[in-house]
Amino acid sequence: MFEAHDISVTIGRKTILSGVSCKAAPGQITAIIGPNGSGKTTLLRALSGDIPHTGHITLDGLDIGTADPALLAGLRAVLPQATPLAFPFTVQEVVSLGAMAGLSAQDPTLVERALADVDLIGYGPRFYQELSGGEQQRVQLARILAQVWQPQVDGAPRWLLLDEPVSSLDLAHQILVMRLAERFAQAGGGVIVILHDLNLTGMFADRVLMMSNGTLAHSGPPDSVLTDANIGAAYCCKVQSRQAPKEGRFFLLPHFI
Amino acid sequence: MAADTAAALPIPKVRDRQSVARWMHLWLLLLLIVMSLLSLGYGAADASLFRAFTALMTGDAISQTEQIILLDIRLPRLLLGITVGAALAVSGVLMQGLFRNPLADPGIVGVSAGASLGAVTAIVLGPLLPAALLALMGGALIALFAFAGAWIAMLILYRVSTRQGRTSVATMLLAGIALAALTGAVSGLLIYIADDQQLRDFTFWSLGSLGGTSWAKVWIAAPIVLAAILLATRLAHGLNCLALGEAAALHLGIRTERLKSGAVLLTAAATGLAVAVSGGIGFIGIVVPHLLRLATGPDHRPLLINAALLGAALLVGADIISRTLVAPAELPIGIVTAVLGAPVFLWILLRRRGLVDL
Repeated sequence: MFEAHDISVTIGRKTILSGVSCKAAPGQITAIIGPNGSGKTTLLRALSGDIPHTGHITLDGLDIGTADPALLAGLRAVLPQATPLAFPFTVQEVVSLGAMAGLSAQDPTLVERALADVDLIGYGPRFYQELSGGEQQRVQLARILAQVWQPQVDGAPRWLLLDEPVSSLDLAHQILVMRLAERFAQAGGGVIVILHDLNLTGMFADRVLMMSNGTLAHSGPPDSVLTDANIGAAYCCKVQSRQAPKEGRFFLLPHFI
Repeated sequence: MAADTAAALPIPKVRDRQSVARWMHLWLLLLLIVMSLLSLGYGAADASLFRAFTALMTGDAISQTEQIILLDIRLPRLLLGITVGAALAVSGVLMQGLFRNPLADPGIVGVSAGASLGAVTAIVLGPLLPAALLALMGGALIALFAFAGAWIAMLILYRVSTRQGRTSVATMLLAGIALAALTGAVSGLLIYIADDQQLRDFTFWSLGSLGGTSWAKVWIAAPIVLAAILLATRLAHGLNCLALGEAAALHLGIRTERLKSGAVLLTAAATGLAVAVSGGIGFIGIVVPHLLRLATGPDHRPLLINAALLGAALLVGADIISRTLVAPAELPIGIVTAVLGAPVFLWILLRRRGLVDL
């Protein structure tokens, strides 16, 4: 269980997050949504233990603020929005950095299996810097998958924290990545993911945290959070959502009404 | 010449990079040994190494002059050349890894200038220290001050050019220029107030060659540089992770604060020592890591060792040229490294611009 209690983050004189308390359970995909600048990334960075904050955050009882980084690296992996690389590493070398940080490093096939999972078979020897933005994003996803390869170890869940993992991906790969996250959660791991696409949120999220102006505006299952009124208030635009005919899931078509 | 040897190696298929890097240890070690034998064997004075060896074998005595030239002039000079070359190349690798920027080099961004200021301070203001302390420190005073100067310069440079774990290339280079200008001004001020003896000391020091090397200099510099290189290899994995960014390195379990201060300290130690014993020698720190990255990739573990070996071989080679080209006079070695290094660097940039991603 990822638990954040009364988190506030101030950078300079600006308060980015104020009084956010939230929970994320293993076995579920917890989506963080909200408009630009609402504090989604800051919340995820606080949960990853990157930035100083007030309040406290625990990961299965372990205090994020004081835990050994090497211990945390075995428990959770974090996908940043974009990762520019300073030196000409190959895809294989990048993914092995993740494998080495995790607990399954002794598995020699790990790097290739992680690359296969993100549909990059055979990309190992290629230079990271020569790939497209979407391919780079998937390489990074393979890296963090290699870091927490088993969603559960001895009954204790592993966690994926993903900051907009589908932002530069095409349609098919968006679905592929979300299915990966879904499988990870179904196998007992926990997934916390920032999403901009409310339709993907409606399709895949088990729980939704809706941020607005640095506070947690709503949290709960998608049906109760993704309402026209909530979305309209948080994103400052009028919307009308519908249920997709086949599965009865939420969908929303962005247009003026 | 050493640079040409490494540059001529074909760029291997990416898959083989790890094993190539391991073989490279051996090749570079051989190169260093060859360079060392050449360095011992050639020089202005006619003291043939071959003759010395045969004398050892046959039990003949070699002349006292030859003995002095080999053991008290060329050997300490060779060892100091190896030490300084390795120190400069390893500082380059560490700085580039720390700033995540292939253009970082102690000579270019003002760290050597900081070390120089430290050395000048030791020469000019050192005599103000209590005599007992001076006697205790002896020849290590300049080295200690140079290290302190390099350290302070590194700390300022890092603070100025890195914000939220990101280093801007432009800010770093400009901060380096400002830092070099400032330290140059303070050095100038110190030289202005120096007396005649101090000016003599300063001039000898600032000539910046390996000439006049004594065993004392070797004993001060070599153990510290060796320790710095060994400690640096322990930062290799952390520096690999740091290439992904500071936050990503933390997520991968690296204690980034410890890693950064370690890299800053080791860079300062290696650069400070190199500057203290040999003045400013440029381009080793930027050309050597570049060549090696093109050949064996950016993995810091083999890179640090290979850089130490190639840097040493390159500087010993440059020293041979500086001693023999205009013999019996000597060319300042900094000129030789710049003439060899700068074109190689430009050529690499032109050829592999996309890969080094500048």
